[in-house]
Amino acid sequence: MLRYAALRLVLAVPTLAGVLLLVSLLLQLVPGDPVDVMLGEGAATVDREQLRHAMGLDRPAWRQLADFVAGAAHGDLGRSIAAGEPVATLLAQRYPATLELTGAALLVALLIALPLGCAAAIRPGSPADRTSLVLATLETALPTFCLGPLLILVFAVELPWLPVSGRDGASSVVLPALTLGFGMSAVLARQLRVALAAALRLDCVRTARAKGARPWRAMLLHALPNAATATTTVLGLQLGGLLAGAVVTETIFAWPGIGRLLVQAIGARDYPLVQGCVLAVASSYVAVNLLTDLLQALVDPRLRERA
Amino acid sequence: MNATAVGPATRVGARRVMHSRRAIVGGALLLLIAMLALLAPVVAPADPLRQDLPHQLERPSRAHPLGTDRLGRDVLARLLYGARLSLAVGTAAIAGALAVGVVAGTLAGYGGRVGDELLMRATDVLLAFPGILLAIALAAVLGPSARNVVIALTVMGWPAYARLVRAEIRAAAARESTRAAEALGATPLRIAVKHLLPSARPAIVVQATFGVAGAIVAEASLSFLGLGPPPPTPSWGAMLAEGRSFLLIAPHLVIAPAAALGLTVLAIQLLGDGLRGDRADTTS
Repeated sequence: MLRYAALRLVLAVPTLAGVLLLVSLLLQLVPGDPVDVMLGEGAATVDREQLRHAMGLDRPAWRQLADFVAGAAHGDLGRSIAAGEPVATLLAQRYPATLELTGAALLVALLIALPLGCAAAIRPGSPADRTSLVLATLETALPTFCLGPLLILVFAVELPWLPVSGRDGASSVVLPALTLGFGMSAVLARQLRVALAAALRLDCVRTARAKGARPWRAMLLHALPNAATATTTVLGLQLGGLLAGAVVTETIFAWPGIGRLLVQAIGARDYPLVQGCVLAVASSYVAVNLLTDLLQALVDPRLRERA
Repeated sequence: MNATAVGPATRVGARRVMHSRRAIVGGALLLLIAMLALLAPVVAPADPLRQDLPHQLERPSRAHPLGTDRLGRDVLARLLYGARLSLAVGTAAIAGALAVGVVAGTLAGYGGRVGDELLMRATDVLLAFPGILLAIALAAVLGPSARNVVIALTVMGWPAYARLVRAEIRAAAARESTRAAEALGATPLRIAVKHLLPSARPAIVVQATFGVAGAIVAEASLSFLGLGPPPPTPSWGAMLAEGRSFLLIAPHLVIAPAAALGLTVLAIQLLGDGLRGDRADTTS
């Protein structure tokens, strides 16, 4: 297991390096002079030179890249121009909120997907199966920025049960988590249905049934563990979607996480902070996928042997 | 994976569409939306940019079938003109992603090991950015405009097509007919164009159809975040963002663009389902 873990860790390094390189290149893509864009045309020459020097824009491009990568390796992502604080500090302040939201959204998705996927796998073509299909279509047709305002309209305006926005107490996470989690529940349910349908045909499940286990018992104790591997992969990939979807959802609900920070940074043309936010979300995604792989190997010894 | 990937190339296209009820419904709906978008200058009840401040935030009425927005502009007119933007940007972005993806995927799948390794590592890095994040980052630094949205979505979209084309091409390259063409001395370019790409076409067509729906949603997301074409250009995403502030007094400002977006995406999905084969959805 240790060898497998080490291998997976090493394989993630070039990906992460590529992500870092791409994020550092973002600043080069700003049309014209980034300093002009950030400070405005009317800024004093002294201020402009000072910012240019502080951001290292007076150095050659390759030096800027090297410095950015070296700094990032030490947890130094530069300073936010609007807030004047280190980018890393701002990210650390906002990260827990995003973590809370994605965690709650994942819970919502699982609460919808698990029963639906199981029911659909037991009886293909049943109402549960068709529901999961309709849900899958609905999810794409109703992206977060449509669903969010509609949920606010129903549950915060017409029926004043839940807060409209902000992060204040447990009830405030419900609507954002529903908005975000709904978007991935059907994909998860469909995936689970396919994996479970295959697992239900395994010998161990038939044996359990032959020995008198009830359908639900055979499903939960024998088929589900076998369907878990494929479903976990999808879950890992979807979690990345959640992280990116959080950008829009946090904006809708004024949720003080990384996504909202990113949108605010974009509005303020605070490019170092934009880079920091993008890097934080992308590296979280790489980390989640790495963890998914390791978790699977821990659960399923067959994966370790193959590596 | 899906039915078309193993079916013969001719099964996709006009004939399959005519055999699937879903595809007919989806295609007809999409055609209707496209016609309305195209004819927006004729069918729109008003100029989408004309402000009428005394009549702001009005509920739907005979003069304004979907009401008016915060500046008294006709919501239906803005919706129709917004459809032009959505469809144009969605199609352009997928055309761009397809162009880059097909060339890259062909090179990777049939062009030798070094190119394959390089291209696949490049897609690895791009795919390490979750969801729409890369497009947000690109649109943010490039500046808000329809052209930059297309660029951002192209960069975000091509790796998936490159991977798909590469897989299809590799499968086709191993076939007897390809071996025979090679033995007869056909140039690699000729083989790629005449033998490999045609067999990849069905999978590409299906993927690209769903891709347009994804790109339309992505464009709306970017516009929602203020990264689309700047105001007063009518765009569904921007209309949703603006309407949010008036949820209490004018909910139609949110419901109308949400419904338009939902219907368009639904139409494309039905068409895509039909192209893929109605029964294939059990494996996706």
